[in-house]
This record gives sequence, C-alpha cells and structure tokens, in this order.
Amino acid sequence: MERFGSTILFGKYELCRLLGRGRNGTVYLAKHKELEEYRAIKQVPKSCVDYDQFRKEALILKDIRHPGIPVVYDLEEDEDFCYLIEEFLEGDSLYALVSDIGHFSTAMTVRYGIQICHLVNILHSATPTPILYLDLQPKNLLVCNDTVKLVDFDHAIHLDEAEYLTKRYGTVGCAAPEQYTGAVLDKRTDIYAIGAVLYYMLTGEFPDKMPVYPRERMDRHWAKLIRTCLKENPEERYESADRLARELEQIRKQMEKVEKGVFREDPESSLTIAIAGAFPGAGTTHVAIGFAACLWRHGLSVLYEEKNGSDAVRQMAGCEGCSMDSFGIYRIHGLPMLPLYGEAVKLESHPYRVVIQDYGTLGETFSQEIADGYLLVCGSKPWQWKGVRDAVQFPGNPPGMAIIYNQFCGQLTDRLPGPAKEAECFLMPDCPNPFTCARRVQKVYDEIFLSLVSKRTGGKIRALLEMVTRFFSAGRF
Amino acid sequence: MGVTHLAVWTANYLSGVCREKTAVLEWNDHEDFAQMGRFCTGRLIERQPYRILEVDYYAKAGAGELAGCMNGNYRYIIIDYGEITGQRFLDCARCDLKVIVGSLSEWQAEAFLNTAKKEEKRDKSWRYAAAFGSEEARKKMEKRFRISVGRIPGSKDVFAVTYADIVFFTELLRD
Repeated sequence: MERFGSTILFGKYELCRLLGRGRNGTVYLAKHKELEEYRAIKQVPKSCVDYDQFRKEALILKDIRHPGIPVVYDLEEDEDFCYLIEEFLEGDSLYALVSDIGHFSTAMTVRYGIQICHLVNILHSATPTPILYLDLQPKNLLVCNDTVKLVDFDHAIHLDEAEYLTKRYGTVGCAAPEQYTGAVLDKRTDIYAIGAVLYYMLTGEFPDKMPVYPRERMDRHWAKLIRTCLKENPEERYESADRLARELEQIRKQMEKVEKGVFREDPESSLTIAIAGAFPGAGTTHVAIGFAACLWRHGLSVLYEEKNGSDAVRQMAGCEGCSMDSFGIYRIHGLPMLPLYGEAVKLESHPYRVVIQDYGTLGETFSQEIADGYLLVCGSKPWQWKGVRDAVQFPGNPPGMAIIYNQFCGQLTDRLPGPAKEAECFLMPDCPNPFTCARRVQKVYDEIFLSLVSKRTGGKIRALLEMVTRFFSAGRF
Repeated sequence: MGVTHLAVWTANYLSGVCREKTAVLEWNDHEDFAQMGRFCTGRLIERQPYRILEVDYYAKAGAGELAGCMNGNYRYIIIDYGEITGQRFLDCARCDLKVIVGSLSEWQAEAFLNTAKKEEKRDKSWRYAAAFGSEEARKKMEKRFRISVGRIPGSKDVFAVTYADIVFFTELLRD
C-alpha cells in the first residue's frame, strides 16, 4: 500500500504519503479525488482488532464537532484491513516540539495547557454519556498554528463502560495509577494525564516517581497545580478539566493583559519586523532566527519569513527532514519558518501575528518594505568597520532603524564605529545555536523587542512596557 | 494529451517552489511557445529565451539551444517533445527523467499502451502520468506493465502552483 500517487482506495482516495505508525495501525495522508480535499486514513490489520472494536472509535467521534478533534467521514474494510477515514489535522506533536527545544516556557505551557483542558472537557461533557480519553500523552496532541488538536481515539470509552473495562492501555509516564490496577477509571484519570503533560511541557521529562515533587525552579503556583493533578488518590485531584482550565487561566491573566497591550487590544493586529545585514556574512539570518525563536519561546505567535534568495529555510528543512504544511511553512526545531517562494506559488495566507522578515543584505527592497520596525545587523570587528559605516550612512535607510552589533566581543573592540544620529544600538554576544540561545543573548533580544514595541506605541504607554517586561519575566522558567 | 501543459506547470513548480533556475525547450512543431510568449508578454517574441515568472522559454528549440542551456547555469532543463515518436523517443531516452503523459480514455488508451510497450527495459527514470481515463483502465495498465501511473490533477492555470500541486509534483519527481 505504499505506492503513493498511484494507489486509489475505495475508488476515491488517492494516497499521498505516510503520516505515522501507531501501536495497531498506520495512518496515511490521502486526497479525495472528487472533492480535492485531504483526509487521514487509518489502516488497522484485522489481525489486531475486530471490526466492532474498530467501529467504536468512529462511533465515539461521530457526534463530536470541534476544530481540535478530527471529524470522522467514513469506515471501510477489505479482506485484511479496517479503514477509518478522518479529517486531516496538520501539525507537529507536542512530543516532537518538546524534543526539539528541551522544554516550553511557562507562557507556552499555559497557552497549550488551557487548550488541552478545553478539549478534554468537551469529551467529559459529551451527552448523553461522557467520554473518557484514557491515553492523553504528548504524541497524541498536535500543535497546528498555535492550536492544540487531539488525535487517536483508540482507547477512548464511554464513562458507563469504565466499570467493565478489562483490558487497560496507557502511556508510561502519563497513565494514572488506577490504570495499572483494577480500580475504576473516571474523569480524573484524564486529569492525571493532563498534569503529566503539563509537567512534560515545562520540564521536558515525564513525572516518574510518586508522589511528584516540583522542580527547584518551578514557580509555586505551577508546582501546586501539577501536584494536585498528579495525586495518587483520584479524590484529591481537580474534579474536572474545566476547573483545571480556570486555574490555568489565573496564571495566564497577567500575560493576557500584556498581549492585549502589545497588540493594541486588537486580536487581529500584527507586528512586522524587517531585518537586513550591513554586508553579506554579517549574520542576518542567524539574528533573525534567534529573534524569532526567542519570541516563540515567550509564547508569541511568531513566524520567521525569508525575504532573500539564500534558500536557507529549504536547506535547513532538508537537513532536518521537515515537510511543509498547507501554508508552505516548515517547522524547524518548532519554529515556523516560511521560505521564499516564486510568484507562481499560490498558498494560503499565514495566521501568525508577529513576523520577523530576513532580507539578507541591505538594499532597495528592505528600504521599501513597510514594517513596524527595522533592524540592521552589523559586524563589530575592526576589519568590518568600513562596511558598517557605509551601511549606517546609506541614504535609503528607513527612519528609526536600530543597529545590532553582532558577535560583539569586548576584548577585541573597545569602541564601535559611530552610528547615524539617534539610531539605537544593541550589542549582541556570540550565540552558537540561534534556536536555543543563552540567557544573556535572550536578554538582548528582549530589549530589542521592548524597544520596537515602545516605538510602535509612540513611547506613550510606559505601563505597557512594564507589563511586557513582566510578561517576559513570567515567560522564563 | 497535455504535454506542454505539464511541462510549463512543472517548470513553475521547480522555479517557484524549489527555487531552481529552470528552462523549458519546445522540441516539437506545435509553435505553442511563440503563441504563449505573445499572449503573456503582449509582444512578438524575437529573442530567445523569453521569460515568464522566472522561467526561461525557448520556442522551436534544437541542439544549439540545448547545448547553450547545458553550458549555462540552469539547474533543470525541461524538454517538451510533444508526441514521442521516432527520433524524439531516442532523444527523450537520454534525459535524466522521462515523463510519459498519456490518456486512459477508451479512444486514446491504445496509443499510451503502445508507448509503454516500446520501452521494454524500464527503470525508475521513466514516469507515467495520465490526466484522463477511468480508474479501472489505470489499474489495468499498472498491472499489465508493472509500472506506476500517476494521475495528473486538474489544473486551471499552469502559472499557479498550489499546495495540492506541490504534493503531486513532490511524488512525480521523487528520486
């Protein structure tokens, strides 16, 4: 079944590629030939599961309508396999994202945590009988454009079946203690798993010992919340996903205020920052990726956009084995990155609110770009000074452009070529990996962002800046 | 059959998505490229090549143009052979990747089958694609010749490449 592009299933689904393999089955991306829409087709060998059992997943999903839960379109079978035809949900799993960057910031954890609670609450509130998911784990949670989606309902059951459940499954690290024993399962079994996933997002590890103790640097509110989710006795956990979501909302409240400030209380508002280098090799792409990754770690909806012909994004995607999504965006180490496409390419507009544009070197296109902020990346070594002076004095430079002296080394350079009058300057320390930069580098990026935001708001909202500062502080775990 | 259609569309994919310098050579007598040039640029095409959306087109090309392209800095050179008969078949066989475009409609399938029969020692560099015809005919052909016959998606505009088209080309041109 792996001859993609030529295999047609049931006369209408053309197989495109393999999406993944699970415990029992394989999931393929397929295109509905008539409707020209993509579907996920889950293929399970009949040797693994009987048809009635397989049908159960479809029956559970058929009445739920939510953008974060796949729609079931059909069930099919042939001699050897059962097939579940579902909505295709794009995205990277939480597992893949955390593996890439080590762990999430508090801001990202709270954002995704609330969404997970809402998804679980939808299942728990299903009528006439609530649904228990029973295998909540980072590999079953996809993140697509900052929206969390829940997939793989293999082990979901109706609450009234829980009492008679003989075979029990779960993922080590996320499964509640009662899933290992004969105790009755209920909604709080899923609450335990949410706690384990929150712990995983914050630390990059699963809680492995009972009782769970918070990490040394974990904020006390987080520690209390996670400890309550992971109580051995279900009675001591949060009674519902909705209640847990409200607790997470409390943590988020501060950040919400700040985001509203940053985006002028308009959720549709966006921020575009254009970056160019004084000369080839100044490190523009390095800085642009570092800046975007820093904002992404703070939980902002950010996109790196390639606006030069270096082809860096495609080359990185090739090395990392990443595939593009329907927006033409690659997620590299979790960071959404849009390569430069030719005029012939017609893709959907991306939904990101902060866009970091990498122009490569200074030129007409950079000067003509209408952005909210402009950054010029310069070298800081004495042998680069002439190029820096020429670039800083370039007559077409946009007004308010700030200057970043890249790879600044105080031992080598005790002074810098004077910038144009009133230009703001930042000294960027050396940073080997822009995707996971050191604290001191992150601090410089934070300062740059604060400066750009203050310029955008006309410098009149001092309180906003203080809030942004608090937002950044809260984002550090 | 849509050979020129696929050639131009493929060039726009390679140039727009893969960002590779691409040329398309018209190696047939249809004179479609001259018409396309006039239509797209709004003037008579006097010089070779003319450019549309970063792709270079060579109308009524021959060995001289091909040699020029091979010595130039093109990453991909697409040759539109039109109908693959006689000498053109031998020329086509020298290319790194050969895409045979056919139709599986009942009244056209025979020609497609005859072309498939000709190339006895088929290797992975031969690709077959069809825009029309029934699924049954496509499967029959795949079974009979032990080849994969891809289905060309319907395209309204060869100068526009969508996400669905990217999925198709990724599969068609896979190494």
